[in-house]
Amino acid sequence: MNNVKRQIGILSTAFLMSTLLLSGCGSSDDNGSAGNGANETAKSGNNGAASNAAANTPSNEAEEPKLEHVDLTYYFVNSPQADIATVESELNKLIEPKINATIHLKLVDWGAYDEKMKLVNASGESYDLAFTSTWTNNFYQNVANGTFAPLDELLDQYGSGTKDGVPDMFWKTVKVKGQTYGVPNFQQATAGYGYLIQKTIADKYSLDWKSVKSLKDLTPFLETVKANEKTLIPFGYSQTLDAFLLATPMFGFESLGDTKTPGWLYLNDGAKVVNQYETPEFKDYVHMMRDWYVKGYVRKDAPTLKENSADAKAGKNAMQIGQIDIDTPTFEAAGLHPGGRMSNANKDIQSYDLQFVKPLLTTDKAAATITAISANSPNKERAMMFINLLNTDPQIYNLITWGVEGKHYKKVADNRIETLKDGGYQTLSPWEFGNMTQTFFFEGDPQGAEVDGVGTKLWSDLNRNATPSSALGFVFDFTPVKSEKANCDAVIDELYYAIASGSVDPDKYLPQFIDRMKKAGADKIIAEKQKQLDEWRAANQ
Amino acid sequence: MKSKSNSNSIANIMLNTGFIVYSAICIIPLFVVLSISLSQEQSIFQTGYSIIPKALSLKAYEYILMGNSPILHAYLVTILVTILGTLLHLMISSMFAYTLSRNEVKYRNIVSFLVVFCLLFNGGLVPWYILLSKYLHMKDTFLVLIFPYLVSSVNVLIMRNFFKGIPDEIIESARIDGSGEFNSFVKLVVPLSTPVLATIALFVGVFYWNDWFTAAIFVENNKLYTLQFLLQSIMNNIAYLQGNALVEDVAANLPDESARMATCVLAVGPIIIAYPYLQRYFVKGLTLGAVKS
Repeated sequence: MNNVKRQIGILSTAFLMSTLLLSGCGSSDDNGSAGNGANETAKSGNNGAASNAAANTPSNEAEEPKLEHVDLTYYFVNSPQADIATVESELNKLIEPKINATIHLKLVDWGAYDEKMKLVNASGESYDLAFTSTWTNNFYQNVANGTFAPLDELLDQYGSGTKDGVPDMFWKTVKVKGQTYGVPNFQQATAGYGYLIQKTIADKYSLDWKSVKSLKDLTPFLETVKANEKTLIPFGYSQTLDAFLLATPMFGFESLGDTKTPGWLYLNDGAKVVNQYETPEFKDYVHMMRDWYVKGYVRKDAPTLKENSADAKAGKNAMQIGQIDIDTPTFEAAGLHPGGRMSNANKDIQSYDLQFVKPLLTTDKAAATITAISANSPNKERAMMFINLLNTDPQIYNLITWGVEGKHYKKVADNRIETLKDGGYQTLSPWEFGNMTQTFFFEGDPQGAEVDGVGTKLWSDLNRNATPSSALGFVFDFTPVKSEKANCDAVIDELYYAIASGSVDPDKYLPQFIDRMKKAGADKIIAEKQKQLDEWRAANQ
Repeated sequence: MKSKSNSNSIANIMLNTGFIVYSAICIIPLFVVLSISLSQEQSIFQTGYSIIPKALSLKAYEYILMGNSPILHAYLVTILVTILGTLLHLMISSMFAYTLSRNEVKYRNIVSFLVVFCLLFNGGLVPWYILLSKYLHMKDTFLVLIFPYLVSSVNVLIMRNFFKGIPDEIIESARIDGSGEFNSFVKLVVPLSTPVLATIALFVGVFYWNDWFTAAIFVENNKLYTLQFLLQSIMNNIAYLQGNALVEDVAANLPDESARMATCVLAVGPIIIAYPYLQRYFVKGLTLGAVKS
């Protein structure tokens, strides 16, 4: 009997201890308002119920000066941030007097966001705002599923300043069947491409790096590097750096939907969908890559290399292609000291960047960063007000983007900051939250960009003057050709990188590749793309 | 006789070398991880991985343990979840299994059938999510990390079969001596079942320790992140970010190779220490549990 009592005693002590420890975790938080997880959920749960009841009463009440207090939840994607609680409570101090709402920041990490939002949306959970885009938490799919609320009326009522801050081209891409379903975050959205070369290499051999017009012109440079720099890889190639798939405009194309699946458009002829793998441009590209591969300009294991960040960090790549929206000569012309580097991870390896093709605004890029309101949100008006604040109030925008001054960043000039690595809040994604013209400049931006808004003007002009794609706003619906797409994807995964990296003889394998794609249903996909594009054109003329 | 022992020794040698090779295959990656975690960052990029660190550095551990990284806090959460989860799981599952093992319980066959049914079929991810978040309101709480796994069909069946092996006479004699059902269970059955309990404890402990999925789905408050979730998310994020030009800036900010490996080492630590202590119960617990009657 004694034994039992003792055991029960031990067990209950264990419980007690754990509860104590747990409550310890919660209260160790230095911000009372953030509280611990359990409290927060209970709170927002109650409020959700309360505001549900409030939503039943006519929404005209919102026009009255006194707003009822509500809680908003905002899902967004980033790396886990240790000190998000401080940002949240500071943010609430700012927005509470303005719109009488408390915002709960729900940060989900990059790898899990897509999956998680699918679950949240499928379960019909009530939340208010979410980050959405073409590349994660897919905007168009969500709109098709009825996940997001239409915003036209709300924008007219509460979005003054938000609408004007973003050019019309961008609004086109968030309209589905005549209704607006999201607010595009205005950011550098164009896609220019070109190549990067290590500064020291270019200077050492006094290469005329500005004269390069296309990838082919790089061959003599690569030869020089190969002959003289034994420790360097002349051309950094990996699956994520495949020029043909990444820099489609460089070859005179734009992709429709997923870049890999067959069916692209020529930039100068937006009418006819073609199989990009059958074009002479692709043939030229693979022959050039074959030449480079045989001569040893790329790594031997290039076709299976998923990414090359380790090489980039070590500064081993002498040259590589990249997305370059504003290149070194343009920065110099604007009087800025360019901050080009081979990899953001290694500040010491500086680079010269040169653009081959002028930026193009495609659906993918224009709809790359959107904030949307959930159709299940009980407080859509208030959510819209919050979006409006993010788009028009620099103080709020910079707080959610960069954190708290002195704690997460320090100011080094009027509009320029330096992020603090150990601060506990470093999202580094100013494009995620609203109108980016309000942002501070940070270490990654070229020196001088903060003076008189030069840096902002450079990229926002780029956006405003970019050539819109002839299919801007068109979104391909894969469902009719689902199985063909899966079959083609399998063939592409098997053969594409082997051919594109030059590791196999294109004369032998390219026809085989095209042939197998045809058998997998490439033509059917292209025909379907053509059909949908024509229909879209007819409806949007 | 002689030839037999000869062939025996040849078989022995082959078996032994086989296992040595196999063990080496298992252990070497661990050593590499340990070595990377102790290496200087730049030396990894310059020369690649190696079993013996080229340039020693404790910076990675300093970053994890001293800096503002959430890893230490996650460590605490994980330890709590593992201890509490394992204890509660053992308590609830063993009581459940014991009930099913007793012939006196009237509907035990129906309940047993339900247990087996749950073993074979489940509702799927979305209904599970809806149940826990919408109806039980456990989303973003500490409880959600423990609660969903308190009973596992497999473990209940293993334990039930083990309990069945305990002679009824023992319990009957206890009853004659005036012991109640609960008392007999705690004082007689549990001490007799250490092998199976230890085995299950190890299973469940390892499960709770390694579980990242629950946190990934239900947890948004960073005070509740578990270690494995954090580790998984760091790895996952790196893989994700490196393929995406838009977020390159963010990728540069993630912990470096050595810090990631140091996290791995820390994540593996306690459970690897617990293993040998519990392992001796392993075989006994499993074989006895597997005998059908």
